[in-house]
Amino acid sequence: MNSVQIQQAVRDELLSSSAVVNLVTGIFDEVPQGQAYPYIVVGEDTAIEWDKDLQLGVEATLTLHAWGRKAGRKEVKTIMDAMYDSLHRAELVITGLHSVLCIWEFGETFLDPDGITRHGVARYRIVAEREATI
Amino acid sequence: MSARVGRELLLQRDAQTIAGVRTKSVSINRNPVDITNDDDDGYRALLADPGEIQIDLSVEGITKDSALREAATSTDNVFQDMQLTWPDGYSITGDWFLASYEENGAYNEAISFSASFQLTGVPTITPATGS
Repeated sequence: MNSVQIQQAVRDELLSSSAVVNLVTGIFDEVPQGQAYPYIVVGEDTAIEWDKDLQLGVEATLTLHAWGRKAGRKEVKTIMDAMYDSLHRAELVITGLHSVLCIWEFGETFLDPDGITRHGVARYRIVAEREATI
Repeated sequence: MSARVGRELLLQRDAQTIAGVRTKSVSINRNPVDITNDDDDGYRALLADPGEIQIDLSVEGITKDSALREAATSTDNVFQDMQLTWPDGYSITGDWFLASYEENGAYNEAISFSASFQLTGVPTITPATGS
């Protein structure tokens, strides 16, 4: 189902965007202790089969999180917009797979229960098929 | 024959499996000849042989190439010796008239297609050989 390759491809796409990279201190799967804000976390995913008779494929969703500590939501909204410009309708480069589509599904921002941290959530849908046929 | 998965039902043209296919559907219609008359005590009577056997095929899938679309817009109306093979070895080979072709391109989905074929002429039937 190639979840790791998809996660890697999304992270690579974000890292290729200077607009994204210049806004954050890093893009993480597991955030290091004491990491300075703001940063992006590549989070939850889902995957379902998207096969054809002779070719395997996957339809995945990937949830991205933006975390910031500046007052107001503008910081995380700016990061979310930069991620959108980078990922929405992007042609991802996924190892061993051909990317069919990458589409933004929804975004949302919160004030975390600690009363300080701003949290943005965005989900993207990715459809990809293996280059090899079976 | 034990249960088999649908992808093992192969549709091949010139020994090449048609690309992108997800679903195949075959229907065999045997049209009877009704000879009911006053002597039949009110019950329907049919000739022992069907008047016409129609074998139709429809396929759906994700568009991977332009082969079917090009055929649908050209004079390449009949696919010669196209073969449908079941996992047990049974196969129907014959000439199939490309009766319809449709493509669907939703803005947020992969382009998909569906096509239907009608068998023309007498097919070559290969009986099942295994399981």
